[in-house]
Amino acid sequence: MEEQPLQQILDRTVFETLFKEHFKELVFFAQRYVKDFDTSREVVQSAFVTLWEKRETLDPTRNVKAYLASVIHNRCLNHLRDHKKFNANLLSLEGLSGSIAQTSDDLIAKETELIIQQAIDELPEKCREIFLLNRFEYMKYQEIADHLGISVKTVETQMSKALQHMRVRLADIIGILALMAMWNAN
Amino acid sequence: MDPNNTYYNDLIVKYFSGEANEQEMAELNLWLEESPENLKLFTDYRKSWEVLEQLSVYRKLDVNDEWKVFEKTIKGAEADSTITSPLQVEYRASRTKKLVVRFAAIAAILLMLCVSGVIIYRYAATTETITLVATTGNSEGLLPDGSHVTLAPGSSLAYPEKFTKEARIVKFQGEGFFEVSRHPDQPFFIEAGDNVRIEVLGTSFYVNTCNSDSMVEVILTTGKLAVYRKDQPDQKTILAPGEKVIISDKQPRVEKSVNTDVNYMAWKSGKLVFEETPLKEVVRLLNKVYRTDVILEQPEIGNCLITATFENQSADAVLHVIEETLSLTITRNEKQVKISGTGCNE
Repeated sequence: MEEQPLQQILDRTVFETLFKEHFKELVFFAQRYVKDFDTSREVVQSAFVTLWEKRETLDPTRNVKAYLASVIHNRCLNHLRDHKKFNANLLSLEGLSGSIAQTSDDLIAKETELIIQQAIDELPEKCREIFLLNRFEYMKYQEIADHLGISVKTVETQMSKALQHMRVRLADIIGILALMAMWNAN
Repeated sequence: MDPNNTYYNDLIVKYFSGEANEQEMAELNLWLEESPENLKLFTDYRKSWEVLEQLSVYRKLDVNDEWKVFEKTIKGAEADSTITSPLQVEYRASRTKKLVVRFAAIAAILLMLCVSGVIIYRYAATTETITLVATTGNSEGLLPDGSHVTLAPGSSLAYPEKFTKEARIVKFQGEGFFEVSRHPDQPFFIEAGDNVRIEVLGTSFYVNTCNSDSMVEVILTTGKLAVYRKDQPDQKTILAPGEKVIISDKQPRVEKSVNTDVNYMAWKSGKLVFEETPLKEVVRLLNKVYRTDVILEQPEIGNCLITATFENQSADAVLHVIEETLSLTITRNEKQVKISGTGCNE
């Protein structure tokens, strides 16, 4: 182990805990804006780098998560503008533009995960395959089309069918989650 | 579904997948403004999408890998002493699952409980001393020589900012697991409790000063250790891996034995192994590892035997197995869990 100033080592231990605690939630947060997994990861990584670089100048009692969220919010919006994927109205319908959106509470409990898994298993085979490749392997439509030897249009249609099915099957959970969110807020 | 609407269904999904271009997004926007039903469809889909997305994001991410990427980035930035553009972060295609080994002794590190409370504070002295205290959960510390320590809640470790050339000396109280890096010219000493010293060359081991009677228990995992009373340094007990020593102020002799408690690392590993273990011992361990308050209503049932292995299970899961296996009843109130029954159902 190289010689490092002890202050740095201590900071790093605490920082590591923070990092591992918030990372997933923040990627999920970024993903809502940029809708691309690798970009979400990059943005969150860069936000943590900024936090690290500024760690001595920031107020230690400040809410770290809120700070990171605001950095991520701004960088995501910039990213969308740079890539010509910025539509202010749609973002606002998703609750994402203007002031900083809140990070979400945990939507997934063990029970809901089972229901989701079941719903996915119910999809017709090809449809499920396409859905999993896009939603869990994060392949783009064109990549999926190339991989399976089908047209992009087919991918679009199958994705649409998949989400229709998920919407119906998840309707119950979503109702319960909304209730829970209300209870927690009170 | 109305055939006309599949076009917009497709478009909505395309948008959520990040596949829609500017033109398609504008089109979608117009359609959403046409009627509240359209907007409702969009919002419903959004909710389902979000639930799925959280699941997939959480599954796909490995925070340990991400931490390594992060470390590499800041190391690079520090070496260059220029601030690299945030979006130049590189991702490795390969994934290393094993922790990089820097010590002579090897131990996999698994943090067990939920959020750990860590207090690190410095107080002025001729050489700065740093004290690491674990409050609500296990906490880990990295010492200036690269040694690693995991502390159970309520434990503390004091060490100097910089070790002296001759020796590395730390003070420890509580329960912890040490992985000491090998420096043959710089022996490592732990002052455990009031009067016990542990001399280490490079090994991994468990120390517990927590029991009453100013007693210290040391169990060696790998390597070699010498344990002795501070005022009797010529009477050293040397431990080999798997051996345990207990030094107590109440007895002049030192107890050395082979460690038979397979669960001595349970507080750190989250793994509990019971083989024909009496229930009262199971409950004791449960309370220690999970910080629960489980009691037995009838003391006799404490003698019921259980054989089971639990790895990273919740306290409830363990209790459930006990309930089923021994046909006992579990009642819970405010903070306590009571186990009751009439026999062992063998």
